[in-house]
Parts: sequence; C-alpha cells; structure tokens
Amino acid sequence: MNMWQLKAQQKAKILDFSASLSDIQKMRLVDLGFAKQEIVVCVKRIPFGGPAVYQVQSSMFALEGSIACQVVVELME
Amino acid sequence: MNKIILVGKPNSGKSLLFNRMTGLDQRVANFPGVTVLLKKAKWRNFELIDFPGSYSLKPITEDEVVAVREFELLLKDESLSAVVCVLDSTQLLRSLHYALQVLKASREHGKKVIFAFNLYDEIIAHRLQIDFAGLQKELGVPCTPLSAKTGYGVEAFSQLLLTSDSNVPPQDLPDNLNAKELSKKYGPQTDLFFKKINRLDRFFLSSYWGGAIFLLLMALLFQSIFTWSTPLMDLTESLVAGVGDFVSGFFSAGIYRDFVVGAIFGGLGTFIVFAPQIFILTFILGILEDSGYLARIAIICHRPLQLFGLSGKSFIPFLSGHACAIPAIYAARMIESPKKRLITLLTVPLISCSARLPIYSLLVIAFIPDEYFLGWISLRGLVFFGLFLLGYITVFVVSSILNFTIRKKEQDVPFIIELPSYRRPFLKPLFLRSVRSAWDFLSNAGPVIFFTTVIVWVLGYFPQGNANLEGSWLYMLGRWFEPVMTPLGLDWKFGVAVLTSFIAREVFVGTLGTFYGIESADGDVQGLSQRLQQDQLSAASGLALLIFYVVALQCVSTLSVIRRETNSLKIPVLLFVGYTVLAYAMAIITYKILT
Repeated sequence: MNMWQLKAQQKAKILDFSASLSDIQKMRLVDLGFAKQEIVVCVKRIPFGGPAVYQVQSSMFALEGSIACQVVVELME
Repeated sequence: MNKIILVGKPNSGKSLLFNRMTGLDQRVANFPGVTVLLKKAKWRNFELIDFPGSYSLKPITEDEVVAVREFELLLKDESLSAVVCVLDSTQLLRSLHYALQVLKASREHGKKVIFAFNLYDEIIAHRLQIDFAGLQKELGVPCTPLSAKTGYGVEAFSQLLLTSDSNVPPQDLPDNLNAKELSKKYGPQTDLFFKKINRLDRFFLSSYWGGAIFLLLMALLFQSIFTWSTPLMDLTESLVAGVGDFVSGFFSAGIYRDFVVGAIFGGLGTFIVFAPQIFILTFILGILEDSGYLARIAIICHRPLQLFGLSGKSFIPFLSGHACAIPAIYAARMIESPKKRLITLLTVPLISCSARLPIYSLLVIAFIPDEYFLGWISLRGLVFFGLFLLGYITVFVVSSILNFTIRKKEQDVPFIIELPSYRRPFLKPLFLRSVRSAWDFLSNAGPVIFFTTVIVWVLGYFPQGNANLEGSWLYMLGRWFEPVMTPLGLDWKFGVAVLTSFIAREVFVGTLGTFYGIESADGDVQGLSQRLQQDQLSAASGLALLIFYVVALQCVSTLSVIRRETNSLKIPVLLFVGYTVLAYAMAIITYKILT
C-alpha cells in the first residue's frame, strides 16, 4: 500500500519509493525524514481530497496525494 | 569587512537571532520560508548575513536555490569568518540532519562553524535538556544554547563567535555521524511538543469546523481593520485639524495661508489620518504569522485553491499582500511549483493592500450609512469586507484564466509544507513592528503625496491665484480627461484624482484633499468624506470608483518587482494594461447596474 492510503491515526513503516518519483523529489522526502524504514503516522486527513498531515521523526508535514501516493508503506497496526 | 553567515532549516529562528544581534527588525514569522532574500547588517566589526532557510543543500524551491547558491559562493570567499548554523532545539533530529550537511560543506572549505541551538527557552520550560558537551565532543564544533526570543544565551553565543578560533584546516567529516543517532543520544526523549501540536490541530484542522474557524478569523480581520481603527483615526483627524487651525492662524489671508490649508493640511493631512489602519492590519496579520496558524491556513486552502491553478501556499503571499504587494511577491518564492508561483505573483496585486485602505475608508464613509446589524456588525465594515472579498474573487477568476493559458515545460512540483509548533505571539516586537509599518507607510508614500499635492495645488490655484478652481490649469486638464470619467457619473475633479493616483494609489486621497482645501481656503480643515457627501456625489459613482480601485494596478514599485521576478518587461506591461482595462470595465458595469 502507499502512504496516501493510510487513514487518520494509522501507523506504517516506509518501505520504498515509487519508480516514477524523480530523484530530486525522492531526496527531498528523505531530507524531510521520509526515509526507508522510518515510521510514519497519518495524523489528519483534510476533507475533499486536501493534503494529509503526517508525523515523521520529530516533525509534522502536510503532503498532497500526488506525492504521498509515491511512498510505499507497510501498515503496522 | 569580514563576514558571518546565519544558516539553518526554515523556521529555526535565524531572522529573530539576526534582529537580536543587529537591533534591526527584519520580518519574522512562525511559518517556514518567511525569509526569501539575503539580509545583511553590520554586527560589531563583521557583516552579518541572514540566509533564507533550507531543508537541504540540494535545493528545490526558488528561495532555496538562492540560499544554497549564495552559501556555496560564500564558502569560497576568503572574507567569510564563520558559519553559524541555527538549529531548532525542539526539532533536534531534523535540525541536525541539515546542520551536518552544512558542517560537511564548511569543513571542506576550512570554515569555522558554530551550532546555535535556538528556542532553548522552550526546552527549559518543559524541564528538558540537551547534552551540549557530548554533542560538541562528537561533532568537534562549539555548540551553544540560546533563545533569540528572550535573549537567553545570546551574549555567551556572541562571545563564543568572537573568541573561537577561525583557523580551521580543511578536513572531511567522519562518515559515522548520523543525525538520528546524535539526536537519540544527546537530545531530549519526549513527544511533549507533538502533544501540544495535536491538541490544537484537533481544533484548528477539524474536518467539521476547521474551515469555518478560518472564514470567521478572516471576516474578523477585515471587520476589525475598519471598526477597531475608527477611534484612532478620529483622534488623528482631530489632531490634524487642530494643528491645521493652529498653524493657519499664523498666516494672514493670501497665497501662503491658502497653500498651508490647501496643500499641506488638505492634501498631506488627509492622508496621515489613515496610518492607524495600517497599524491594526500589521498587528493582526502579525498575530496570525507568529502563532503558527498560517501553515494550517495553507493546508485548509490547498484543495480549494488548486481548483484555480494555485497552491495552498499561495494564500501566505495573498495574506501578506494585504500589507504590501512587494514582500508578498517575494514570498511567492516559497511555492515549489513554477507555474503556481507565476500565477500567484501575477495575481498578488489584486489583493487589497494597505495603500488601498485610505481610498476604501474615504469612499465607504462618504457613501455608506453608519448603521449596525445585531447591534455590533457594522454595515461599513461589511462593505469593507466585501471589497476585500471582491479582490479575492477577481484573483480566482484571473488565476483560472492564467492556469488555462500558461504552459510550463517543467514538471509540476507537489505540495509539501511543514507544520510548525504553535507559539504565543511575542507582543512587544509585534507592537513595534506595527508602529514601524505605519511609519514606513507614511514616510514612503508621504514625499510622493506631498510632491503631487503641491503640483496639484499650484495647477489648481493658478493662473487666477484664488480659490476658484474653474478656470485653473487643473480645470483645463480635468476637462480634457472628463470624458473618461463621465460613464461613471464622475466629474473632472475625480478624473484628475484618478489620473494622479497612477503614480501611487494613495495620491488619490491627497489630490481630493487638495481640491477641497483650495475651495475652502478659510482654514476650515473639515473631514474629506463630509465634503464628498456635501458635493452630492451619487452612491453609484462612489461604488463604481471603489470597484475600480479594487482591481486597478497603480503601483510603480510593484510593477518593477514583477519585472525583476519574471525577468520580463512584457509581463508587467500587459498586467498594467489588463488590470486597468478590467477595473474600468467593472466600474462601468457597476455604475450602469446601480443606475
């Protein structure tokens, strides 16, 4: 599954990135903490297809669907 | 002069530290990406340079490109004495992630580095700690805690900066340094900051009332600009009138007295009255900026703004555009997507800025009755809100058209924004910033208005040399321009006021003030709005004029910044012509509908 499919309060482990993700965007995600094996929590989903808020490492980020769906995750609970 | 640079991830408080060290009041706010230009100032015997924040030394956004390019150039500069990396103590892991990149690059060039752990007051407030001795030993750089907000540790940091050895031989950083391990080993092990964010976000980002809270806050903002500033404006108006009466008493009837009453107190004095509004606007915007709520607004607005080809981040330049379009155009650099950034900076001039406030206030007071609904909702305040809203509606229409017509080769960059911690606004600097903003408004526009009103007064007073405007040079000019104003039901006086406002919008008020000052050269410095009412101008014409000023782009500085940011002369020229034609057409339609 991908990170965009996480529901609010679900926790997951980042496994990989989609092959279609450009290198620069992949690097940016890693710089922000969305690295492989990191634990990510979907904190909040904004209605009507708005961005989702994720907690990763010690920070919170809002990501829109087009990039969140490029992060492959494994649901933890 | 030797240089010291301040770098760090966005929202780590670099600019606040820069202000604390230099005594300046560069704009700061609690959301990522507020600094988009390099700021320089003298500190002791050094030139201190504040850099835009960056998440990485591999840039994506325009502001990051500027920051990283300049950083790399400065590393090669012999005069660079030290690199100060400002870290957010409450977000140690991610701050260290960037700080290690900075340390590596600086070491390769043999530059002295100091890690300044800002926001340490919050760590202390939560009775936590960071092991600086351990970090210092492992990293081999001086690490010092401080709080740019409260001043804690700033003196010790300054001493460290001045006394630590500048001779660092170029060397590579050990490969085993890892931000995650360092943070785990030496940082506070707590999720206290998250709990605070989550609690407040449950309210502000609620699916049920998050949007309603946002709309309510915006309505309150625009209502308050009008209603809260009224007592201050009344006070300023009485002061100006009192000084006007007092000063004109020193002159006997004749040209000098006419000049003082007409040009000085009629033109410039009328304009000064509006400074309190700029103060209130800056103060309320500052509370929103400092609290951390702006990033939440960007999230709430992202989906709706996407429909018009904009980004949620576009709302941040739009909001700061209410103060002035120029910093707002620079703020658009934080938008990753080149197309959305371009659309944002082209539509920012449609946001009602502080220069429009005097015109709105004058015409609203003159044409809208002073009535209240439910005892506290002012009709004038509602019209004021409506004018701001119309600015936004025009933004959305123009954005949609631009989104459809602009084609960009680059791939679109997705929306990512960091949510900063909520912080209580620091009222004293905010108050000073608001006073400064009102003063800047007066001092920047004042000379232009004074110069224009003097010219208008001379043209209106001569060749007859009396208070009779008809037959003056200005009358001849106004009659020539009058056919343009006739479809709006306006006479030649308004034609001249509109014509002069192409220099700067605020001049409109000064010019009208000068007209009425010339006509009543008896020392009676009466409210300009009352004189407009006495002139029996129709409400339809007043509203048409208001609509014109909501849309028209009458600011030379804004056009010049757009030229610089787009690297094109064609774009600002087309924008000026396009918005002027649109404003005029909308004004005519309004007048026709109302009559």
